[in-house]
Amino acid sequence: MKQENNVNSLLQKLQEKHGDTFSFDQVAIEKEVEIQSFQFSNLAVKILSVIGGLLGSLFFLGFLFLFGIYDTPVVALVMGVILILVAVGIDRNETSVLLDTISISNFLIGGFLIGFGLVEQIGGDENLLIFVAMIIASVSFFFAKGFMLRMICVVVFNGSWLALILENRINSAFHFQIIFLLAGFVYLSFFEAKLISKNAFWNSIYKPLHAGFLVSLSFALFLLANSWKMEVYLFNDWISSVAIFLANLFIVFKIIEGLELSEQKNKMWIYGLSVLVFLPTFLMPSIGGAILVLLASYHLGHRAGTALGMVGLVYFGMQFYHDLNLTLLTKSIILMVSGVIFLSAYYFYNRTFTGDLIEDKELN
Amino acid sequence: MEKPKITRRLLHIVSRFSNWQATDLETSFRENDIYANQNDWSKFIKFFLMSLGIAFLVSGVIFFFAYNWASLHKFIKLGLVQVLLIAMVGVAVFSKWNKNVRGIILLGAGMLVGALFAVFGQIYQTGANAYDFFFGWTVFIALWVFVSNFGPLWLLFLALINISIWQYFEQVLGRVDEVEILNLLFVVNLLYLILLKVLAHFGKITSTTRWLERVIVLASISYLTFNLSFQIIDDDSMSYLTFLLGLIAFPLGIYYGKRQKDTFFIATIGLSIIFIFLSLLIKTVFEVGDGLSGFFIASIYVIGSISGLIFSIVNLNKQWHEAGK
Repeated sequence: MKQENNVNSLLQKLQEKHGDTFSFDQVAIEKEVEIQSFQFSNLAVKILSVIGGLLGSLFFLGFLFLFGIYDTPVVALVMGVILILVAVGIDRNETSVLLDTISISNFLIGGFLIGFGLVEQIGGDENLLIFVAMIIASVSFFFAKGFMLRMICVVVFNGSWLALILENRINSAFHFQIIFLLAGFVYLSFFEAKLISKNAFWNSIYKPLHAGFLVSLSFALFLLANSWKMEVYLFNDWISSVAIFLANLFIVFKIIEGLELSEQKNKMWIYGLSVLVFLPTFLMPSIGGAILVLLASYHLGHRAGTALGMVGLVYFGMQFYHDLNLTLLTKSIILMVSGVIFLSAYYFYNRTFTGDLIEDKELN
Repeated sequence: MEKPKITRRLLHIVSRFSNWQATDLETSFRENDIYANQNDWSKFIKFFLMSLGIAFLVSGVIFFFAYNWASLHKFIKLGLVQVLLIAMVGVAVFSKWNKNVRGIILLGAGMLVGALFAVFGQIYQTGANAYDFFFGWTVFIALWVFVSNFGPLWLLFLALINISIWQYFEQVLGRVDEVEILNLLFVVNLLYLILLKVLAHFGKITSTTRWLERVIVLASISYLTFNLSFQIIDDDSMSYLTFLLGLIAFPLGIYYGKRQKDTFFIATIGLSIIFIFLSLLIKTVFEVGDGLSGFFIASIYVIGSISGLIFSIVNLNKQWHEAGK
């Protein structure tokens, strides 16, 4: 069997390399491989479960409200708690991928009902609601086992922080949330081996945590670019700009370190070019953020993140030039000059590093 | 025997049930090409610089002509675009750069053809409508598309065909019959994909990449889904042709997906069918009942059917997996 061959050859190689110091539980490994191959899930399945979960819970909430749940907030509260428990319970099951839609919709309906019940029953204010959402998300994160529900918990948790900031009108604190998201995402992207080898718990939460931070960071960057249009007035944008700039430099440093480039001169070139590319993003930090997502995801070999980074780059780039308060002529000159700079950079790169003219067949 | 395939998932699992050290694990991620290596980054930098360069340059040119500089003589305007166009095509044809890079340059030239037509219309006030503009653009890049066989150019070509069809109905026929247009667009997009497949089959072009195939499938299915749902909700505009197209295309798509062992087809077609039945459900249940039962049935239907779809995808994958052992 192909998969067993893969497992055996890897284990054999590790044993040869490390001798007796390498210890492992072969039975557990084979069992887990079997379970995970049964739990097959790809992007399509994940998107399906989110669509199903969202749409299903919307219809069900419509039903509950027509049914008259607003008259009995206590019932809503109790039902909400039960639904969340059911959602997490289902998610602990080994076949959870099949039941993802059900557990996601239960979780969303449950969360909504608890919020509704709290407001109606004890007249809780928004801050209380946000804290409750955070607690539900954190606790569910620890008890759930499936990828999707855990990822949604991360997004809800990060979203709650955002809500807390906006609710209390401390909009500038949003930049510190960006710093938190950046730090989390970069750490998860470049210390994968360290995190997953820590212990079984970290190993199991790594993927949903990474995906959750990717989604949260992307949303935060979108908000950063559109804040004025959405009438969320953020000030002190320079905080995010500096943070994103530094994070990008750190990423370049980590990538170079990993590639083990020998020549000092090449390294200097790369740093110099990187600073040149990153500096203009001070004008629109979201573009820098999109580059960060792109670089980190490409390094990891994470396709969804790479695609998200590319889309972000194109979108934020177009938005920047669209919003620029200049005449079309000035814009066109800036664009053309930048184009020529990039093309010359390409030309010099090609001339300097010609050792790897390999035909790649990704796009044709 | 084929070389064992070490995936990220496998490394995660082994790391969980062993005392594998982080530094060594990190090396394993690199040795098995899970992380991007030097060669990958080199490709990335080239692709990044060239795409940005062409994108900026071409949009700069388009902005420049959109500004419509009155004091610039018309010959200079036309000359500028044409010189740039010839230069880019020249580089694409004669340079020894790799195929993707030349493709990107030709894609930029393809965009410039549009700019050239626009400038021409702007100067001579040809009175041509948008249909002529897009149709001309489509026709004049056709040859490059076939010769270069570059994914993004195939996509630009298809997008132009779609826009031309829409404009033809709106401006030449002077009527917008959504049902008819959507029927036609569905057929055209599907035929386009089939044409690509046939050309690849006979070795006329290298095989189409997955992303292009998926974008076309997604566009076609969206047309059909929207069309059918629209007709179900608004029954004045029933067209049996659309239903017939669905009856033919859906089973064929599922058959093809199964043959290719690609869950993408099953997922998109499945979701499309779920949405079509959802509109039927919404129409019948909400028209008859008070909404209460409607919401309830719809929620159960959505959750149940999508879970069922996921179940069948997982099962299919399992079958393919076991058959491949």
